[in-house]
Order: sequence, then structure tokens, then C-alpha cells
Amino acid sequence: MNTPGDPPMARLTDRLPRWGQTRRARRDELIAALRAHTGIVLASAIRVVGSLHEAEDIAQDIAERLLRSPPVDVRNWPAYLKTLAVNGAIDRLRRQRPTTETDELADAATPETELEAGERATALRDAIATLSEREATLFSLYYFADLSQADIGRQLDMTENAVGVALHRVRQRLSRDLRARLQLEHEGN
Amino acid sequence: MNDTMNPNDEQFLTTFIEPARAAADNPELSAAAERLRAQLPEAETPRSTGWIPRFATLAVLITGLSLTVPFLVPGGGGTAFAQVQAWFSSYNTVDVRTEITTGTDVIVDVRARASADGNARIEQQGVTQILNASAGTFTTLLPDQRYMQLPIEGIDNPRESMNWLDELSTFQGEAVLLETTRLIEGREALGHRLQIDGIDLTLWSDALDNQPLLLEGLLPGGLQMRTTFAFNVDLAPWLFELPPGYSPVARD
Repeated sequence: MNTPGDPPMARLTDRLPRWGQTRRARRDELIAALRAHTGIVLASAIRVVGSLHEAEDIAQDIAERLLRSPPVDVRNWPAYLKTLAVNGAIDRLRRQRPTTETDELADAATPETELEAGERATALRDAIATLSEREATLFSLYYFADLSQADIGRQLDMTENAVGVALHRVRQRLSRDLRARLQLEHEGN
Repeated sequence: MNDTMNPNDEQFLTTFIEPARAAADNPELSAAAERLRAQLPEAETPRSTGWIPRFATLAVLITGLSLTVPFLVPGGGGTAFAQVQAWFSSYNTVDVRTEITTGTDVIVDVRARASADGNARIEQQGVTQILNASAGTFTTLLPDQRYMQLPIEGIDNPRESMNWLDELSTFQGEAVLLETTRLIEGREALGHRLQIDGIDLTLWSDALDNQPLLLEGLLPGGLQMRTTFAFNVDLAPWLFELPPGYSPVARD
């Protein structure tokens, strides 16, 4: 054990093995978490982007990034990894979809009740792509990654109440947006 | 902004959310998860996570089992349990499958088939290892139809990785017979509760012939472990041979 009189370098070298061990343990914990939660990472991502291939890319990106630099002090691995998955998926969604795109609805050319399930999913993803990044993340964490409002608050550094209010507004906005898109398409045909 | 939301709006939105959520029902999702897990590196400190790495090295373990039977004669678990343990050293063939899961996610899925004459085949995450005792070869089949082959002498001492079945078959601690029985694939099974490495396990065996059927337990971290056993099953010769269409891995 070091005493206050030890030279600083000696104290440092004494601690180095412990640091090394901690880093290794952190990496091992990360690998175990990635193994354990690959399924939910994929599920969260595919619900947002709608494509398994892209969801797999997102999950792979997350793993590679984390393995390069294992995170410190993760209290809730599933929530943490789901948040990364949703962030990655939202990022792709926003890059890939023009903000006013309604191509699937135009192809459908039918009122809302007659839209096929796949077309409704696509319409929702298009609408999500028009939200702000934070709104899109909030909505997706709640509805696609199944995080509680409390967990979302912890991940996004918001109070649970603020999450509830923000979610309510996002729901309203998406609902209006989807109705408007449907109405527009219906009138256009 | 109107801060209230019409219940019809909620219902309306749900009709869009549900089909988007259904994307996760894609039947290819499990295979994709398995592919991703296969790309992950192994942990550097395997013993720190308890039993998982030892199950992951089941390949070597079974290899060792087939090379070094018979096991030591079992001891202090009581007569009935000794008869259960005896199966591990008196089989002609054995088919062992271990799954470690968390929730619905499968973390480890290993199947090992071995015969008393020294052949073994172990499948895990798309990789198959084949020990052919008469040919004296240890072959690894990779997912891309390539293979690596070593002489048996080239394998590290397999005995050193045999902790798991060794501990089970030579278990000297207390094996507590459970009062309740259960049906496993139509067979009435007796359960013995054991503790190995501080982990509570239950070994279920056939009430009529004591044949081990199932070992299950809760591992650290909330992981569920389940190992099924089938003894003296037919194992086709091709299981222990290099399949056609494979090419050797080029040496660097």
C-alpha cells in the first residue's frame, strides 16, 4: 500500500495494473452486454428503419464503436444500447428520407382505412423523419424500443414529467401530420 | 397548441405504430443476431464471468470427454444420484445441447455429439469442430465452406478444459433429491439439486433408469442455462467426416 511519502511515479506505477484490469473488465462487460442484448438492439433499429439489412449495419456500427472505446459506468445496458440503436436508426431515417416525401402514400392512393400495414409503417417512418432529432428519438425510444418514460428521461437527461409532455406533443404532431398526408393524397386522387 | 389528444387520434396513431413495430417479427432477425454475436471478440478474462466461457469451450470439453473416458467413479451424492452420474461414464454415444439465454435472447447455443470410441462433433455459432479418432484428425468447419485440420496431437491438452462435466460426474457434494417430479418429453423425471461454483443447478433424470435428461440453473447476471442430454442415440458416420465441397484454409 502506498503512503503519503511515496514518490508520485511509484504510486502511479502501482496503480497501473489496476487501471489495466479495470479497462479489461469494462471491455469484457461490454462484450457480454453486446452478446446479451443484440436481439433488442436489432429489434429497436428495425422498427425505426424498417430494413433488417440496415438494422444489422446499425448494430454492427454500435458494436465496433463501443469496442474501440468501451463506455464507463453504464447502469442499464439494455436502455443504453437501445438508445444507441434508436439514435443510429433515426440518423439513417433522416438522411434517407426527404422531409416531405409521401411516395408510398402516393402509390397507395387510398384513404387511411384502406392502407396496407406496410404502407402505414412507411408513412409513419416518413413522418418521423420530419421531426426534430430529439422528438424522433423520444418517440422511437418509447414506441419502438419499449423504454419507460423514466428510462428515457435518464438516457436523455430529462425529467420523467418532461418526457411525458414531450411525448404527448410528438403524438399530436405525428397524428396531424399523418392525417394531413392522407387527406392530401385522398384529395389528389 | 391544443394540449389534449382525441382518443381517436391515439387509436389512429396506433394503426401506424403497430405495423412499424411488426418489422421486428422478421423471422431473419434471430439469424442476424447470431451473425452479429459471432463477430464479437471473446472476453479476455473468461473466468470472471463464471460458467459461460466454460460452456463456450464445450467443444474442447467434449473432445476431452471422448478421449479420456471413463470418468472417475462418482461418490458422495447418494446411491440414486451415483446411478445418475454413472451415465456420464458408461455411454456409447451422447448428444448434449446447451443453451444460455437471457429473456428471449440466446447467448450460447452449443450442440455436441460424441461416441465412446473417441469421435466428437461440436456445433456452435456456425462453426463445427469434428474430432475423428480413427483418422487422428481434428477438423474445424467454417461457415464459408472452408476447413482447418490438425492432427489430434496438435490439440492443447483437452483435459484442462473439462471442468464442467468433470465437476458434474465426479461431484462429491450434497445432491438433494427434490420432492416434486416433472415430465420431460413424456418421461417422469426426478430432480437433484446441486451447487457447483456457488451456482444452484438442478439435474433432472429419468425416474426409471436414472438417465440424465436435463441440467438447468440460473447463472450470474440473470442468465438461464439449460442443457439437455440424450444417451446412446444413433450418430451417423458422416457426422464425424469432412463434408464434400469444403476447401482448406490457406496458410498465411
